Amino acid sequence: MFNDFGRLTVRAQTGGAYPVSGAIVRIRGADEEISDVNYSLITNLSGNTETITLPAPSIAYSASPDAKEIPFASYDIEITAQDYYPKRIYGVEIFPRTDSIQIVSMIPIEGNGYGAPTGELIAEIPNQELED
Amino acid sequence: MPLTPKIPNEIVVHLGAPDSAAQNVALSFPDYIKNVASSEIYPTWPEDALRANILAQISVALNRVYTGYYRTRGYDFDITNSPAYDQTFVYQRDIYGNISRIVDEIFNNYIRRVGAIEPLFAQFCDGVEVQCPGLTQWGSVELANQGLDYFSILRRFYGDDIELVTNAPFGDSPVTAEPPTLSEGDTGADVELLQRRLNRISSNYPAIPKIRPNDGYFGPQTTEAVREFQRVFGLDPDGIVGRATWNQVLFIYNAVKKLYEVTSEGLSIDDVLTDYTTELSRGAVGDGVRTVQYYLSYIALFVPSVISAGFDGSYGPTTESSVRSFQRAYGLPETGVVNRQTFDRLESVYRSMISNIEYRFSPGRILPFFGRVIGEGAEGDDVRALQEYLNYIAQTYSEIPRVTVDGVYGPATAEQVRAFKRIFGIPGDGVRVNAPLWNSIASIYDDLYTGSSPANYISAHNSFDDAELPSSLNGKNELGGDDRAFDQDMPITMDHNELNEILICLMRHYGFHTNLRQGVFLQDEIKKALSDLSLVLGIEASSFSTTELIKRMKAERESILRAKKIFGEL
Repeated sequence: MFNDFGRLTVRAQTGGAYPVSGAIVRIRGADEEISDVNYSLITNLSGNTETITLPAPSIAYSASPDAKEIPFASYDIEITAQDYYPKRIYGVEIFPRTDSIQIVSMIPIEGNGYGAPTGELIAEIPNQELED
Repeated sequence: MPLTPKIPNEIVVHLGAPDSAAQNVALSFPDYIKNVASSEIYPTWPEDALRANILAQISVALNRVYTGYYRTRGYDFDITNSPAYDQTFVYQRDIYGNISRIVDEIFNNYIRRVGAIEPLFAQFCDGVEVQCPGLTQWGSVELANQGLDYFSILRRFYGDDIELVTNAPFGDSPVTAEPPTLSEGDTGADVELLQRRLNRISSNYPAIPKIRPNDGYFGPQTTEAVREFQRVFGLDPDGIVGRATWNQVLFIYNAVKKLYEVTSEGLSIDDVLTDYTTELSRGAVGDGVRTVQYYLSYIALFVPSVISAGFDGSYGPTTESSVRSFQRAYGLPETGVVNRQTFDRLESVYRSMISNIEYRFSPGRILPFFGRVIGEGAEGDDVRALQEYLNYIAQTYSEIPRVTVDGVYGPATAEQVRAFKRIFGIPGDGVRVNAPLWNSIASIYDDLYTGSSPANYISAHNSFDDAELPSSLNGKNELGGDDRAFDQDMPITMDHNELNEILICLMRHYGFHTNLRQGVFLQDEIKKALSDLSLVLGIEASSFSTTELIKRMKAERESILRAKKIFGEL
């Protein structure tokens, strides 16, 4: 039951110091219950999308280890920008009553048919609950 | 006085168990902690539980770095991402806003045993699936719900004999003064420094308005710039510069500055970007190595799995490791040796990063060095920008002629460059514009455009007052009493950190190899450094007292820094 909400902002940047504006950011719910959640945003001059509100589970599920449900909702993000390699991040975690910031480091396209450096196209956040 | 461990600028994380063949990634220390905290705990927990956990995580990381736990065992990283060995880190995950703000505030705080120097290896576990000595995460939630503050929570788990270290140094300065909270109505040098930093950041983030003039008065313009900065970087947009905002300003400023610093550090005034001539590997020195190091360090700013090399022109283990990380990231054989294939690829990747920035002049915009040394006959957007900068500077310095901005480097532009070099004391008759000269011109332009005078850069940097040598370092015991170079009757009085910093600067400048690092006191390395440098400074080591030797080095360092300011360290 996803009856609470969290918020998400996506920031696209490059070289650690330049914003990537005009990047298209698509956000989709990864869990079945939120599979109809679908956003398409564009980053502004500072590389930020607008902050959107996303369904998340009840805050009670993160309050104690006895909770039987996963305390966050999972979303998949795809970012494309001209002259940069596209990027996908699977499993972005959204907690209720919490702001999340997803910073995406964009890498300029090398040209000459070369692909992105290893490990930079796709990130998968493991669906981890509190464990050690 | 115990040596205070320093917060590292960057931490290198291995994305697997220590012996696994996984990639390493480098990131800033606060970003690392934000990631760990977001991976290990829930953001919905009470604030004191969050703070207690974050302090434990910071202490674990600092312990690994300070003790060199992995490095001394021959690994090329500081810590792993595995909770079985260290703590959870999930590369590229999302970060929670409240956790981010707490980390911005306390990333240079940690805990240690009373009387000890090293940060505590503050072991923790979840407390339900696993039990352990030390903090249990669910236990901390319960204690916070009972009303305990974060330090009491930590003492409950780690014992009463722990103490909290606040304000550990980070960045380039040997000491960190607690930054004052600034808001509208304040005036002074701190406000001016803030304004200058924001103006530099706004060159990359145009939504942040420029503050003109940056006169050290925190007025409505400054408030608006602060608010916009806070909005862009996910801070509470209250227009007040408290700890978290100050720290973010510093880190973003450093990131922005880094791109220029890389270009100016990597090349001296006479260097030219070299072409591939010969295979480079361990033991090589010189321009070819410097070029490779420069490329690697620039690329490292864009690709976290490429670990940056040093700038010393000497191909040692760090450079080899850096080359390997590049080869791994780009699918080349991981030999650690720069052959033709690797060099060509370095150049190709570097150029893609340079050319990707929309390279067009607009008023107030500082463009990075384009990646080619330009001289008479060159044409392009970089020449155009150069002409714009020099024309603007000519408005204040009338000895510089003005030219038609046509993007073609002809005799008129050459005359501009010559005049600029004369006015700002840059040696050499040449008019070719390489990276340091470019940065110097851009920084003077920026000063004038943002309304601060170039002299500010020199005075605002750490001022070395020769009359003042802080706290005691017993020359005989710490540095080896056997060595005749040191006058045993006159103990050196200098803070460890400052000594380290001076020696590192001078060793690098003169091209000597050193294992000296910030935040760690290495006795033998200090002896070696003093010995090497006394040769360079033309001092017969045995005929100078240590105090005088250090005074001389301080003066040398001061003049190097002054020159660097002119040559492009912004």
